[in-house]
This record gives sequence, C-alpha cells and structure tokens, in this order.
Amino acid sequence: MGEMIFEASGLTKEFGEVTALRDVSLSLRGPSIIGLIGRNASGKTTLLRHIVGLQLPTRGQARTLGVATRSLQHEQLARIGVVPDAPAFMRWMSVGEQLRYLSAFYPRWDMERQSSLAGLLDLDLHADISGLSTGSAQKLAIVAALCPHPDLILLDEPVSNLDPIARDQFLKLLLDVVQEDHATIVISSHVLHDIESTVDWIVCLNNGTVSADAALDDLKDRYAEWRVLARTRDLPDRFADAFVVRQAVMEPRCARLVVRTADADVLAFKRAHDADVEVAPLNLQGLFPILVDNGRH
Amino acid sequence: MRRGAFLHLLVRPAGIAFAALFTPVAVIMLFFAGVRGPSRFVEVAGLVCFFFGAFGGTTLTDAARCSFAWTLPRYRRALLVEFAFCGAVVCAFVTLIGAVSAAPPAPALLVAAVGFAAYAVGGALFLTPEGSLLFPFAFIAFVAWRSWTPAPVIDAPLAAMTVSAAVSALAMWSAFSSRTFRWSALLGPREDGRLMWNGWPTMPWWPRLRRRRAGAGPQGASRAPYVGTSVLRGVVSSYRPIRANARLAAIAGLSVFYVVAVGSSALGSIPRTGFWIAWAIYIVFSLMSRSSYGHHSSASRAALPWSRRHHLAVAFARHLGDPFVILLVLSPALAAFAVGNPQLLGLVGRGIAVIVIFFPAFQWAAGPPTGGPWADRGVAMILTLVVGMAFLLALRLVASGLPLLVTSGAAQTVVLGLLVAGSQVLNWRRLKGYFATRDLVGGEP
Repeated sequence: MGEMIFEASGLTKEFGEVTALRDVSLSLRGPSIIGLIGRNASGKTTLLRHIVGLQLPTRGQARTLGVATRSLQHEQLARIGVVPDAPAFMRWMSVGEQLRYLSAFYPRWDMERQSSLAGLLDLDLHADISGLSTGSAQKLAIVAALCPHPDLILLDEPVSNLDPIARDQFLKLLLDVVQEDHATIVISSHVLHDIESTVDWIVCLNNGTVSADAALDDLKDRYAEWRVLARTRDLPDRFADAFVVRQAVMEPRCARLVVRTADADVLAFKRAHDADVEVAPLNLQGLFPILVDNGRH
Repeated sequence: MRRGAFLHLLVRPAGIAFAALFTPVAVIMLFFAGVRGPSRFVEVAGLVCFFFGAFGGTTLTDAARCSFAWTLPRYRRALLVEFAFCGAVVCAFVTLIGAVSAAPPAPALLVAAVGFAAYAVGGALFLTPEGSLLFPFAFIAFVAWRSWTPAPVIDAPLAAMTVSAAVSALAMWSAFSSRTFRWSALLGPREDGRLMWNGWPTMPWWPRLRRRRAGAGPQGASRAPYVGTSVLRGVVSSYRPIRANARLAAIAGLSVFYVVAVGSSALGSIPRTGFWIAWAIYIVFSLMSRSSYGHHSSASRAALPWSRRHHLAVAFARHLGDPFVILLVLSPALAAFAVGNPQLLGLVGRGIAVIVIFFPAFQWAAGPPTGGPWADRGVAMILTLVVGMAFLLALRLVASGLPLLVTSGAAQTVVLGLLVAGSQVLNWRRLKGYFATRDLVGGEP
C-alpha cells in the first residue's frame, strides 16, 4: 500500500442527539478499491462526506490526502472525484455543456476519456439534463468524476440506478481506472455481489462504528461455510462450538454453518456430530451479516 | 470556460428574460427617481441593484447546490470574482444613469457604494443559510431606519459609504464562504416550490428545533391514513410542516410589527403615510409570493387514493385558502390601520379586493403547469415579478382610480366582487384544464 488517502482518528459526528459516526479510527491507503459497506443509516454517506470535507467532525480528526478535511484546498479537491447518491446538475444545460463547464476547472480533464466513457455508458451528450433519468444522471456523475483523472474517487451507491449492462461496464471501468491512474476508489454499495469482484479492501460500518476493516481476501480466509449432513442421528438444535459464528440453516438432518476458520477443526467436528461436512468459501453477501455483527463475536 | 463560471450561468432563458424585462423597468425607475432628486435616486439605485443581485443569487444558488460544486477546484473563487464583476457593471450602469438623470447629479461614489452593497446583499440573501430568514428583519430595520432618520443618505455620504463597504464585505464573505457552499452542497438542488425560504429549516443550527417539531405539524397529520380523503385533509397535507410553520411565524411576526408600527398613534404622527402604505404592500406582496412558492402539490404525493377531480378540489380550496388565511392574520393590523386612519378605510378595502383578485395570478406564475423552459424556477420567479408589477399597477389604479369611475360605495363593492368572482372562475377553469389533461407529477399547479 502506498499513499495515505484518508486517516481518521476518534472521528465522531453528531447531529443533535443522533450520532452518525462514533469514534471512528481508520486509515485508507491507495491505490486500491475499497468497499464501504453497512446497513442503512450505518454512517457510510456521512463518512464519505467527511472524506471530501463536506461535513466536519464533531470530535476527532480527519485528514484527506494529508490535509485536515477542514482545510482542504483546491489542490486537494482537484484530486478528488465524487459520485453522490443523488447527483444534481444544472438542469438547463445539456450533458455536453455541463461537462464542458466542469472541464474548465480541472487541470487534467481528459476529453478522450470523456468521449469513451460517454460511449461506453451510452450517455447522450446532446440530451438535456432536465430530461435525464436517474440512471443517466448517475452516468453523467460518473463521467464527470472520472474525466479529471482523480487520485481519489468516492462513489456513493454508484450502481444502484444503473441497469445490469451499465453496471457491469462500470465495474470493469473502475478496474481500468485504478490500473491507469493508480487511483484509490472508495465505493459504498448495497449490491454486494457486484462490488465483490471489484474491491480489494472492505470497511464495514455498523451504527456509526467500524466493525470490519480488512482486505477482502483476509476476511474470506477468516470465515467459511460448512454444509453439514447428519449420517446416523439428527443434528442438535444448536451447535455450541465456539467457532460457529452463525447457524444459517438448521434442519434435523442438515445444517449450514458459518465458522471461524482459525479455530475450526473439521475432523473433530465430524467425529463429535457423526456428520459429513462440505467446506465452501463465503462470498461477501454471506460475510456481510458477520461483519455487521462483528462486535458480538 | 473558467472565465464564464458565473457569466455562463446567466445565459439561459431565465437570465435573458430577466435582463429583457427588468433592465428597461430599471432604467425607467432610475430616470424617474433622478428627476425627483439625488436623494431619491440613491434609494432607487439601491433597490435596482438589489434586484440584480438577487437574481444573481438565485443563479448562484442553483450552481452551489449541484453535487459537483463543493469539489470543483477554484469554483467559489471564480464565482465570487465574476459575481463581483457583474455587480461592478450594474453599479457603473446605475451610476451613469444617475449622472445624466438626477439634478443635481447624485454623487457617483455614493451611488456605486450603496448599489454594490445592495447587490451583494441581494446575492447573499439567496446563497447563505440565514439569508432568507434575516431578510424580513433586515427589511424592517431598513424601513424603520428610513422612517425615523430625518437626514437621508445623501446628507452623510462618508458614513453611508463606510457602512455600505462594510455591508458589501460582510455579504460577499458570507455568500462565498466555505460554510455556505458546504451547506448548499449538502442541501442538494432547490426543490420546486422553494424560493424565498429556500432551505433555512436545514441550517446548521436548525436540527434541534426541527426535531422537536417532528411529527407535530400538518405533515404528521398527512402521515395518518387517508380515511375519508376530505378536501380539507388534502389542503392540510399539501403544506409541508416546516414551510407552513415558517410562513405562519413570518405572517404573525410581520403582523405584530405592522400593528405596532402602523397602528400606533405615536408613529401615526410621522409624515410618511405613503411609505407605510408601500411597506404594507411589500408585506402583502411578499406573503403572496411566499404563499404561492410554498405550495406542495397534492398531486405529486405518491399512492394517494385520489381521483383527478379530488386533486382539483384540493388545489382550488388551497388556492382560496391562501388569501383567506393571510387576510385573517393581517386583519388585526388592517383594523388598527383603519381605526388610526379612518379616511383610508375605502382604500384598505379596495386593496384587500385587489389582493384576492390577483392571488390566482400569483399562484399561476409560481407554478405554471407547463414543461420545458417554463419549468425553470428562475422563469417562474420572473413571471411572479411581472405579475407583481401588474399587481402594484392594478392596486394603484383600483385604489385611486376606481372612486373616480364609480362614485357609489355599493357600486364599487359590486365591481370588486365581480372581479374577485371572475378571477376565481378563471382559476377554476385553469385548474380544471390542468387536472383533466396534464401528468399528475412533474408540474405544480
């Protein structure tokens, strides 16, 4: 890992009596693609807004690209591309006019990338912004965020309004951008299946606290799914083994368990319960409930 | 294009319409003011510059609320420089007219200083979180100062220029501060129906108040099951709680001031009755504008089991309710005014009639049921301005001219009653046409 992209220490954000972020300490380094996941209202959007300095901590410190977020200057902001969850543009312009308007402010705006991205995402440059669908507005936001060759790209639910084809193209595009620009991408999404193939680092928020901050591969190595099939006698109602993190499906003769691999001994388990066990890796969707509930395990 | 950060935004239907409509009006206003002397010219110059600044402010607000505005490098600076440049051009234009129209000519530096301050305040009013909230109070302070201070600005040019420079600096600083732009970006695009009060309930210090009120307003009522779906329930639910409360608070606050100021016998001795009438017109005008912009269409609410006919009934009842509520709340003030000035009783009555006659026009201007460029809020604002001018003209004609044409009080009542009924019939027909033919979402009758 290279440059420190974002660093938070004891970051707390309160909105009156509601605490959106609670004592968050985090270091994001790039280049990488970081998946920011969590349940609704877990603080994902608030964290993204803190990274770009749109919101300021109630307590604690936050630094982006080496500068306190309170003091971000145009030198840093020019290196950040943002795709908000609900992008808003100047409604009286066309898509092309809007992009031309924005391009004048960036030292590294890439017209060639603009054309190729617009073509790839099927975005009509002559269309009026007022007539864009939600998905097309999101595509415009993506093009606007990627054309200046930013070093840090913040994507808040970027695929939520894209059709499956555009979603696939977009996720492939992210990999190209990281390769070409050595950028760091922070992508917040609920569509875990889609981002799983793209991200290499996971930050999971739960109720405003960081419940997981690790490489995706490490997380996958930490847990596994066991499909248990009883041989002679029924399985117990609940498995008391300490390494069983989650008992997903429980029937008299079969069960699906999520286990912590470091402590799990499959042979001993088979002997103890007189059962066959098929070990399968967990995908991000399967990991999600565990990561969210990390504090309890 | 960076040089066109602000200028480029002005070149759109709303900007062109504003320039085409308001510039000639401004020139005429300035020439007439100049004829009445340099003191009057300085005041009108300030007013004209304020309107230019206010239009610039709405344009800036649209830009600042785009999702890219916060991260766009050097954007604030570019907007600030060009907004200030436009202000300088407007002030130069106004000063030039002052030099040729006022006799003796108004001091150029004074006109420029006052004009730029008014321009900056006009811009800040729309951009800053507190602007729209502070504006009525600033206006009250201005009117009070203007009424109580015997010496006009022109008699103390140095002091006036110093104050203007300070006001300009403060307004520009607050309008283009990082705090304002953070707030704007978080607030998101201006919704339909939000102009004068745009967003102040979401100001940084607001959440506590907002939370306390949650669920207590008409919005809370609208969350209840729509059993019965009465027209009254529809009218209540088509107001947002914060906006409705804000409007009522503003009306109440201004009315209290009105009662105290206009109804007070002590103030009645001030020989500025004309100015107080102008002030009263301002209150009514701004309330009408706010009322018309403050609507939230019942039709855009999802999953309401209402027929188009029911939406029509709700819209019409709501349109009728606005002037009724405003007149009801203003009635103590109007009564106090009438008691203090019995000779103006007929004038007040005719003024009230004009308000009711013109209300549908305000409501139409605020939300024309059309798409394309007419859906632009800036265009809607200009339409309101045009209707407002027509309103003021009609007020003048009806208030002063009607007694000349129709001498009998009873006949005047009949004429005004016919005009009121006619305007409501026209409004009913317009709404009926709208709800019969238009999409129920995307426009706002």
